[in-house]
Amino acid sequence: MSDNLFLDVSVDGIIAGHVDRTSRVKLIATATEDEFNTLEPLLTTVACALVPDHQFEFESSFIKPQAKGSFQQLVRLLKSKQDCPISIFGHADPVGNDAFNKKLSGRRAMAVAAVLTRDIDLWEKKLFKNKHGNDDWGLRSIQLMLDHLGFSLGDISGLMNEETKEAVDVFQTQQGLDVDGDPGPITRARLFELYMDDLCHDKSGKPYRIGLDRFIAQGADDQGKGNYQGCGEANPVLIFSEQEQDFYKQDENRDARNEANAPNRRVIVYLFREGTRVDPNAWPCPRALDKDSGCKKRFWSNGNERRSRRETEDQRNFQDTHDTFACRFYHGLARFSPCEAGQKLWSLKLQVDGPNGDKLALANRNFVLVAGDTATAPTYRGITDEMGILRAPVFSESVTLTLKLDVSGYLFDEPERNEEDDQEDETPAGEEWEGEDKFWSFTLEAGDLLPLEEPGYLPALQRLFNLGYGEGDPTQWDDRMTQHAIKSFQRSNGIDDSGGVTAETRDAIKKAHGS
Amino acid sequence: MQGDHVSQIAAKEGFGDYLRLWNLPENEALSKLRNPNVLFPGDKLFVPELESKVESVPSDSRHRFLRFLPKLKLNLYIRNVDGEPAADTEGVLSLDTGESFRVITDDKGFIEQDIAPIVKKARLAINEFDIDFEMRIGDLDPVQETSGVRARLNNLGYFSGYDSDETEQLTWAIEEFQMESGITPTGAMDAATESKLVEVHGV
Repeated sequence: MSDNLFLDVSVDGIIAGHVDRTSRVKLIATATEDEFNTLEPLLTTVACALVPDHQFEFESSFIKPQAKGSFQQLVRLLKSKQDCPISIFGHADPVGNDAFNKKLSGRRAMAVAAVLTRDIDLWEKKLFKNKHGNDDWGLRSIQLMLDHLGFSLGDISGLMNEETKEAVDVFQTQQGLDVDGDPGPITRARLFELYMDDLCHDKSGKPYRIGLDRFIAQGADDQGKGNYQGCGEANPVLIFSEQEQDFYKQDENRDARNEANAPNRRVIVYLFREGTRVDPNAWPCPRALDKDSGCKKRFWSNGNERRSRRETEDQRNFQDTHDTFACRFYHGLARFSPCEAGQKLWSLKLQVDGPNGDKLALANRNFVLVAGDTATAPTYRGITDEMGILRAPVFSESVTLTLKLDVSGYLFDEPERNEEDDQEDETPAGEEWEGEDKFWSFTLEAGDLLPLEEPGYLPALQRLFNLGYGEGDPTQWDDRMTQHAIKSFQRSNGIDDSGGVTAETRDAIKKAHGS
Repeated sequence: MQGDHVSQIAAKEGFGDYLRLWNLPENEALSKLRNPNVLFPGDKLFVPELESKVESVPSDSRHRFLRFLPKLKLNLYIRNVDGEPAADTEGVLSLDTGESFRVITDDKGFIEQDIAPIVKKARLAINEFDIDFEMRIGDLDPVQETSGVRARLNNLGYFSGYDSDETEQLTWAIEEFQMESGITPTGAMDAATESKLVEVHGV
């Protein structure tokens, strides 16, 4: 919807206002006998905040340190609409089963709610101590938190070691706790609180928290009914095509599938009209850790078809068709929300040739992505992750993207050194690096990549081009360039350099390219 | 016309009691089809010439003429956004005639207010539930019409869209209503859903 009010869109997430399409006008009848008119206000969402999947550990409800960007957006939104109560919805991707995913997504929503209210107990008892399949915070979460708060401990291994024990010692000493090197419940409580304060603060750095009265069902239910819940895989925003599904269901494409499914794994905070209050018993969503039977009661009559039907070639996207949610209640809240109907994340894996012919991920690099070439073209800034993956929300598939990537330190030509360069530079933040000659520029044409299964060489050549083999438009490559690209790829991947796109070569391209 | 109802027409034409029109044999077909408070544009109500009433009374005594006027009411059942009755709460009902009343819902969320047949618009504000309704009185269409279905669902708290082409929201609202009324959701109106809608809405 062009008339939706995007307040902020970045890799951190989205905050946006909703256009109020509802009306307070009621058409009623007079009464000569015992007629009456039942009047009820419409449950209306007025704004939303999207916390994307990559702010959580994989398959986990643990919120990563980088998620502070999401919380900054969320705090800004909550402060700008002080009287609007909230409810938090977690979503999973359609891999696995309903019951498991409902709980996992509920735990993510719960984790966010706990940060906002500083509910240390919720993290401790319902999440940390109460694992759910692979969603097991474990020592790894303690290590991540300590490390992020400046108690460095080397490898985040998830295993107890001397360095971790030392870091806990230092933390306990600094916090005036009994020093035993063991991150027990008292140490964890203090650590959780400091970590939550670090995640969730206002612009001035002051910790930001809300009371239970800020939620739509307030504190009326001691297990948060109405305040936060998980929808599991009931409400996907994108459904793979048959072709994509055939590709992704193969084991070796698991990572690519998880990557492509990322938009489905999300947490969304909705703000409701000022003064909205509900009785949790009248709220249709089951509690975050309850079974999913309550969800199914609220499904559309054709709910399962909505969430699972596949087109042969094209993805189904909620933003285009508005018919991919199985839950009718959620559909009503989300139908006109820019957080659901407007987002798509681009995932690009960025790498360079390493010295030994291998590929190095361009990890933790600043980037700027400009969508389109007009003066008002939206600009997204962010940092690639540790795998070199860049994620950015994109609202149109037909736009040309210009990507500037900070590659200082990766340039092939040894840069001229002066004395200051001798100390390790921090990656320059924000605009600083953009003005200097330290970035690469790419132009990305969205949507033209052919499925690898298409006949001919072109699908393979497009991917080889993206992977840095060959120059210029791959549709125009001559035999020499084509052969060169294929053979180079084959050699660097230990495949017989026949120059033909064999099944083995195709598989290797699939793996290297990620799609 | 949109907004017409029999009490209002009766008042305008000088018949105090709407039943003097409604019970005429000429209006029998209409009265079987419709509720007198819910007409549809195109419905034809027969209105006879008003005969003057001549009463002969002795000149030596004082007489008062009493004219029986049935009361016209606005009966409202107010629910909070979660469907629970907005019981025992105070609000303000203002009418387009300039009158304004302090109203209190009873323990089931009901408000009953006498109104004149000429009132066309009213506003109800209840602070406790952040309720602020603008009401167009007499504009409710019969449930057999899509506009009547849409208006009732909207009154019941299901956003059903405004326009005739917003079928997606209407389907949504019908399913939500069917589910909450114990009818298997189909998203389409049928006889059972129609009568349930009138029953739950109240007219």
